[in-house]
Amino acid sequence: MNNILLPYYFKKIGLLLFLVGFVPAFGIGFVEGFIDGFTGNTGDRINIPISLESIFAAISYVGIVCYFLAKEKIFDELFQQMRADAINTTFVLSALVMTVISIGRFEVKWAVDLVILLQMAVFLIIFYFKRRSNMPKED
Amino acid sequence: MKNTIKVERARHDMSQSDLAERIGASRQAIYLMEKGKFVPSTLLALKISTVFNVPVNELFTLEDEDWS
Repeated sequence: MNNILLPYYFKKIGLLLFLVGFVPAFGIGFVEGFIDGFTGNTGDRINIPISLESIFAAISYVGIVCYFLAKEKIFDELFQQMRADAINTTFVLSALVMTVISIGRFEVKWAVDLVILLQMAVFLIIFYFKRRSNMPKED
Repeated sequence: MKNTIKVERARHDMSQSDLAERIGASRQAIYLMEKGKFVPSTLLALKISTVFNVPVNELFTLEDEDWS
């Protein structure tokens, strides 16, 4: 896995790519939805080619992957272990949620990108709290 | 597993940051090792042993629960 991990500065690149892709895609969707809700007329749409929206979405996904694969500033075996634990916990939580949805037969329809974003967010939160809980208190 | 990293650091007048920099680890790793909450790899243990010039099995000692 160390061979796949990217240098630390890819965190900034990834974040930038995510914002560059997410903001236009979100903006287009928001404006379209606002117009639909305000006018009640689905005909008034921003005439954006579907391929452009897909490109923006793809850029944001690449940004997410870059951010996820970027190392920390100091990435020793402790951080590798914390990262692996965070990934495991995220996976288990995702499986639990899917199990509950299956058992409860809830009619849940989530877009794939939302699932990925949620998992990414959960991973980042878990990783953050793991690092924070292991912060040195004395020297 | 117990260790004497803190004692050896004091003997060598070394801070956690200094030791971390010498062995290429984070200060958090040193802190958690001293607390007994993180077990270093063989490589890291050998590096610490080299820095302090103390054998590994004098730096780290197994406890009964490590055998279970």
